[in-house]
Amino acid sequence: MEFALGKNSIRLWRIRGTLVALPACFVCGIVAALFPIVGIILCIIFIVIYLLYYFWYVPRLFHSSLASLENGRLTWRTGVLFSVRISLRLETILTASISRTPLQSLLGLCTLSVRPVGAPISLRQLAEPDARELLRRIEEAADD
Amino acid sequence: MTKRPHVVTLWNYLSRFFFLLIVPLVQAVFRAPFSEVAWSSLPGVIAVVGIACFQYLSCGYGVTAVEDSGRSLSILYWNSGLFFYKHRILPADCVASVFLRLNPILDLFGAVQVMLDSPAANAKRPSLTLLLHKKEPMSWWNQLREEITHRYAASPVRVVLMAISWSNPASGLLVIGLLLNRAGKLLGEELTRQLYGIYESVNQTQRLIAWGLPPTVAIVGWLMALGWFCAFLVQFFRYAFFTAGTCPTGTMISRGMFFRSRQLLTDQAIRAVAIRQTLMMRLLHLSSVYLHTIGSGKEKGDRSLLMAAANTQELRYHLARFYPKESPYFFSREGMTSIRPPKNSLLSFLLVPLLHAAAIFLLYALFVRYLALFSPLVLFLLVFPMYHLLLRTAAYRNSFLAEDDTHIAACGYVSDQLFTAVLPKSAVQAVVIRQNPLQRRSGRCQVRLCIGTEKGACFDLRHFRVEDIQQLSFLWEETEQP
Repeated sequence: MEFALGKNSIRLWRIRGTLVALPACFVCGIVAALFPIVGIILCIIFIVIYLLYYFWYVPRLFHSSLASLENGRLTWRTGVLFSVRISLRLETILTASISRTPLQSLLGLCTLSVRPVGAPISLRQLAEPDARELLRRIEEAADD
Repeated sequence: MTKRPHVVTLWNYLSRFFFLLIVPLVQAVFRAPFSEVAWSSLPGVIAVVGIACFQYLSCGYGVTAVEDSGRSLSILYWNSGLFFYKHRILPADCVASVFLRLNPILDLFGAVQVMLDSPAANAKRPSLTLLLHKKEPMSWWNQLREEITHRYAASPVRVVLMAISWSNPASGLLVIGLLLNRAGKLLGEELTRQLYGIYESVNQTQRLIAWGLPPTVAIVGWLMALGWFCAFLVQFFRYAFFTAGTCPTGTMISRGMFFRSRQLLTDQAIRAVAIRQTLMMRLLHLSSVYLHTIGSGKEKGDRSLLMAAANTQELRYHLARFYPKESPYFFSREGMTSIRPPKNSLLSFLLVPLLHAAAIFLLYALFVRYLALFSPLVLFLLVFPMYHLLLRTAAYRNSFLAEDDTHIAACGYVSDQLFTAVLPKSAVQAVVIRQNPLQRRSGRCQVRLCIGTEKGACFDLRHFRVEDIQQLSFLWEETEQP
């Protein structure tokens, strides 16, 4: 069974990217006022990075991120440039929790954190029904 | 019945105020006993000591039994807190390791620090820490010692060799810095001046200057040597008189001079056994055995050592007795599905040290241009990439990942060492496969086997082909063999 990310995750990443871009824009403006040529070069570089992030990186990140449950294993794939695939058995999970930031709850998204012995693993930007279904499966595995 | 811990527990509550309140008071009383300043902080000290006493009186521990589906469970509990009450329980079944810590100060009070760890422990703090009277824990330890079926004792020479290889100047300098800082705070400016004044009277630096070394370099050299020596002493005192034994309850490890520790690791606690070698050890056919466990290595620089610089014969002999199930996998891969990095991956192994070497040459060119006096020193830095080039060539020739029905064997490199680890499949908590853009093009990846310790220990295996990794069943199989 596969769980794609919530569709609003694209919107969330774009909002976050824009929020990060705003102070950077401000800095670019200051640099442009003081050193026009350097400022313009910086602005061009920055705009290109922002556009790449907005139209290329975010959609690809959405398509490359996927949680799946197969043979009693939870697998989480993510990453565009640096791809990561984490696979763990459900019975090794000690605790599982769902959390939301205000922005996530506004967009109907959440983060499922699972903790085996050691460091926790966070599955971010899952749609809330999917996260609840995953949590139910993990609970079932724990009961078995 | 709830028992009270050893009275030394008071120190836990007092220690945070000690340097701020009590030491200045004692200092002032000694300097000017009849002055107002000397006694003005006394009410504060009395209040702090009073609260600490009440906190001590409010804490207690004990063992209780509860019934769970017809089964009786022993539960250890710990109550503490005067204002914020805390009740902590630890089921006896969950205790994976027991660590007894002894030092001269605790000896003076007849106390021992007992640390109990479970798989749910925090990475930095044990599940439960108690300061108890020495008698009972030590008699329990001695009782366990009588049940030892096989014993290994590291020879002092090897412990010294290991301590030499582990010591680094930076950690030693950190210790010296802290000591001087503390001594300065405790004993005032006069002693600090005397301590630092030692350096003024030392004329060894002048001798080095006479050899042609710049003064700054000479001082840095002395500091590094001093730092290294301090780090060596710390490591030596920690691992002197190292012995390990196996008993029906688990593995018992006893080590240390002055600052001693006794550790019992149950079979549940031991997640993986690993052999590690530096290049020098590999040349001498020596290996050290480390355990990856729940509840060890919480102190900075602490290592879960089982055997120090053992030769192959010793290794075979002792490992077969300590861990008979895991031992054969270290020496043979017969009957296992095994994969290796592809033959054309040599450059990937060597890329980072080659880049380091290139960076050093660049730095050398800059120094020749602007700081010619120091430029020969920069060339000394080439030792590090050269060492890593050799290490990674050895890693390229030896890396593998193998599995059978019950165990996984892995060989790779970590910082300046080569490792071979054997772990039961059930110990693997998560498998992480990473690819950087270059690896995506070449179809290779880095595999991380995360094993179940509270510190999140893992083994990294680099430059394997993704399609080879898919052949291994532990990535996708449903249930593990016990």
